[in-house]
Amino acid sequence: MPAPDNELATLGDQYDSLETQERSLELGMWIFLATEILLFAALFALYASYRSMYLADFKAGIEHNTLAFGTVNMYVLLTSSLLAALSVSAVRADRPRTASWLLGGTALLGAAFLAIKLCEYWRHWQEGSLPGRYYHDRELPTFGANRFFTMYWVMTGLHALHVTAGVGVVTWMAVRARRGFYTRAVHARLVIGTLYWHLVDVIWIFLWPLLYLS
Amino acid sequence: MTAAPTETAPPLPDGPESEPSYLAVESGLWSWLNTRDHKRIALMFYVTVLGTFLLGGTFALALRTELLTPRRTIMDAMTYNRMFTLHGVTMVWLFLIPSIPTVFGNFILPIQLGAKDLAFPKLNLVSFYMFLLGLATTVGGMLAGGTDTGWTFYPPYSDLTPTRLVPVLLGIFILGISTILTGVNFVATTHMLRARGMRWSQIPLFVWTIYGTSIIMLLATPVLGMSLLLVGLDHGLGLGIFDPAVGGDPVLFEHIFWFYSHPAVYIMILPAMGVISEVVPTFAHRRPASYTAIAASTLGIAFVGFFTWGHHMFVAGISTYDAGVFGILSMFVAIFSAIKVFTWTATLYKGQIVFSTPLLYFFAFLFLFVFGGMTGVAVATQSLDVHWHDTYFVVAHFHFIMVGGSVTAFLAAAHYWFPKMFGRMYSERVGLLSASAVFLGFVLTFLPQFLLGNMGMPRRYYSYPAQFQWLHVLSTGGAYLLAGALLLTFTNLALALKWGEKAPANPWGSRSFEWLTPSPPPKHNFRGAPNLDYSPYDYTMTDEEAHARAGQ
Amino acid sequence: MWATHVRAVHRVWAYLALLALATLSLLLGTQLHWYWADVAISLSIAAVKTYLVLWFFMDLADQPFQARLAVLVAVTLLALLVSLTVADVATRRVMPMKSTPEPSEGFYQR
Repeated sequence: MPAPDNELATLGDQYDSLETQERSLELGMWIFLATEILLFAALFALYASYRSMYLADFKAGIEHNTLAFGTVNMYVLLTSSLLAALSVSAVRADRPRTASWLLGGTALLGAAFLAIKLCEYWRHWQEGSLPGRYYHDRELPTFGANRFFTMYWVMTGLHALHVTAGVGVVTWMAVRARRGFYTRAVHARLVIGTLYWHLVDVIWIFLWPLLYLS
Repeated sequence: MTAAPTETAPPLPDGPESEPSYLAVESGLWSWLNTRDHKRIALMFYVTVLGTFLLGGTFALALRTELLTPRRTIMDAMTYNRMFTLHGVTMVWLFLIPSIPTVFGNFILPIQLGAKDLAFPKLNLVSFYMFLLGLATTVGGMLAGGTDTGWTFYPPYSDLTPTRLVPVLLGIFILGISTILTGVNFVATTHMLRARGMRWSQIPLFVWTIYGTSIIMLLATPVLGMSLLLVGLDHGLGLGIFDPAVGGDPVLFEHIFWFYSHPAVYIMILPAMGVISEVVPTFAHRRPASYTAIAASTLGIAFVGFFTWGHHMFVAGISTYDAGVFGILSMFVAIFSAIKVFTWTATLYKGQIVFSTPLLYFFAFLFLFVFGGMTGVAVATQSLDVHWHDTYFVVAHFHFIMVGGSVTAFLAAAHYWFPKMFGRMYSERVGLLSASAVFLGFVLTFLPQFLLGNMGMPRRYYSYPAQFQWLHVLSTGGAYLLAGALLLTFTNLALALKWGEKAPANPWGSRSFEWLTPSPPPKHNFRGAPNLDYSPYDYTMTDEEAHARAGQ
Repeated sequence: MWATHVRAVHRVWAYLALLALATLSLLLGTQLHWYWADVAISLSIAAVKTYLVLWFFMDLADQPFQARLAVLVAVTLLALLVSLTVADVATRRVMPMKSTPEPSEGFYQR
C-alpha cells in the first residue's frame, strides 16, 4: 500500500480505485502525445512539399548541413531515452534513489543536446544559413537551399523548445523521485513524464535523417 | 442481469436532509473561481460564451448595417475589413467551437456517464482559465485595432498587413490549447469513468458526439496552432515561410490551415447533432430509430471529415488532380449527415410526440441543416464551385449550418437542459415565440444571400453594384430581427432563473441518465454509484422503474 | 498492479539495437546516393527505431488498445496531410522554379 503521506496516493472523488486513476493519467498522456504528433505533422507536410519542389537543392542543403552535430545529438537523445526508461524500471524495483540519478542523467543529456544545438545554430549563423528572408549563404544561394534551411530552423527550433520543456519536466521528476514521491504502487506521474521525453526522442529520430542524411 | 451498486448505503430521501444542489453547496466568489466541479465550470463557460456571442453578433450587426447601401454607410473600407475578420474570429473560436462542448458537454457528459466528475477536474479548470486568457489576448488585439485579413489569415496578405495580427494569432493559439485540454478530458472520461455496467453500445448519443468532437479537437487543433505560428513568424519576424520571393508557396499555408478548419466545422456541428439526438427521443418518447446508425455516423463524420479540406481550395491554384480527389472525398461525408437526418425523422414516426420549445428548435434545425447541407454538396462540386467560390453563396451555405444548425441546437440545449441545470422552468409560450422569431430572422437574413451569391456578389466586399442593394437590405433587416429574437430568447431564460416555477427532476419524462438526478443535481451528481446497465432510450420502462433499476 | 512485460534488461538490448540502427542509417545516408530512395530507406530505419522506442521504452505493449489506437490514428492523419499536400505540389505541372540568387531585399515593399 502507498505511504499515507504520499500525496500521489490521494484518490480523486471521481475515481473508484487507484488503478483507474493511474491508468487514466497514462491514457491522458498518450492522447496528448497524439496531439504532438499532429503538431509536427504540419511541418513534415511543409518539408515534404518544399522538398518535392526543390529536390536537388534540398540534397545540396543536407550535404552542407552540420552532420556531426546532428548525429552526436541523435546518440545523446537515444541514451537519454534509455535512462528515462530505466528510471521507471528502477521505481518498479523499489529503488527510487537510482531512479532519481537516472532521471538526472536524462536531464543532463537533454541539456547537452541543447548546448550542441546552440553551437550548431551559431555555426549556421556564421555561414549565413538563416531562415527565410534572412538567408544569405553565399555557397548555396538557391531558393531551394533557402527553403531547406528555413524548414531546418523551424523544425529543429520547435523541437528544441520541446526538449527544453522536457528537461524541465525531467529535472522536476528527478527531485520528486529523490523525495520518494514515486512508489512501486503509485508512479503514473513518473511514467507520463518519461513518455513525453520519449516523444521528443522519436521526433528527432525522424528529423535527423530528413535534415542531415539524405 | 443487474450489477449491484458499489455503495451499500440506502439512497437519501428528498427534502432538507438530502444533499444540497451544486449551486448551493458552497458560496462565495472563490468557491466558484477555484471550483473543480464540472457543473460550475460549465456555468462559468456559459456566461463567457454568451458574452462572446454578443460580441460576435455586434460585429455582425456592424457589418450588415454598413452593407445597407452600396457605398459607405457608417464606416470606411479598412474598418469594414476588420469587422468581418473579427466577426469570423469571434464566432468561430470564441463562440461556436467552445459553445456546446464546454457548456453542455462539461455539465451533462459526466452525469450521462454516471460519473461524479470528469477524469481531470483540475485540468478542466485550467482549460477554463486558458480560455479566458485566449479571450483576453484576442480581445486585446481587437482593441488595439484588430486585423483585416479575414478569419482565414491567408499569406501573402497576412504577411504584409499593417494591422495588429500577432495578438489575435496568439489569442487563438491559446484558445487552441484550452480546446485540446478539454478534448483530453472528455476522451479520458468516456473511456475510464463510465458507470458500472455501461457498455459502449449504451452510452447516450450526446456522449458519442462529444467524444467524436473531442477526437477532432485533439487531432486537428495542433495543426491550426502550427499554421498560426507560421504566419505569426512570417508577419512578426519577416521570415517568409510562404513568401514566393524567397521560394515559398502561399497555397501550402492553405493546406495546413484547412486541414484543421474543415474538421473544425465538424467540431461545430457534431455536438449540435448530439443535442438533437437527445431532444428527439425525449419528445417522441421513443428510442432512436437506429442507435447504431447515429453512433457510427458520428465516428464517420469525425474521421472522414479530415479527408476533405481541399474543397476550400478549388480555385486557389492546386493541381486539378488533387482537387478531384478532394471533391470525391467531400461527397462521402455528406452520407453520414444524411443517415442522421433520416434516423431522427424516423424516430418521430409513431412516437408519442410532445410539442415543446426544444422540439420546435429541432424542426428549425431539420429544415435549415438539410438546406445548408445540400448547398454544401453543391459547393463541393468542383465545376460549380468555380462560380460560387468567394461569393455570398458560400457565406449563406455555412451560415445555414453554423447558425441554422449549431446555434439552433445550442438554443435547443439551452432550453432542454435548463430545468436540469437551474432547477427552474422557463415560460413555454415565450420559448415557442422566440424560437419562431429566431427561425424567421435567420431565414430573412441568409436566404437572400444565396441569391446574392448566385448573382455574383463577392464576399468580404465593402461596396457593391446597386442592383444588389434590395437583397442586402432584406438580409440586414433579418439580422436585426434575429438579434432581437435572440435577446428575447435569453431574456426569457434569464428571467426564469429567478421567477420560473420550480422544476421537477424529470420534466420531460426522458429516460436519458441525467434525468435520474435531482434538478439541479447535487455536487457529486448521483447518490452513490448508479447502476446504469440499461439503454438510456428505453421507453418501455416507466420513470419509477428506471429509478429503481439505477438505484437512485 | 498491472503486469509489465518489459524488464530493464530488455530496455538495454533495445538501446543497443537503436545504436546499431542509428549507425546503419548514418553509413547508408552518407555513403549511398540513390536519389529518391535515400529518404525511403532512412525513414524506414527511423520507423523501426520508433517501434523499438514505443515498445521497449514507452511500454506500448502494456497499454490498453486505446493508447495504441491514439498513436495509430495520429500517424494515419499525419500521412494523410503529407500525402495529399505533396500530391498537390507534385502534380501541378509547372516548370520547376529556377535556382537563382535572389536580391537581399524582399520582392514586396514593407
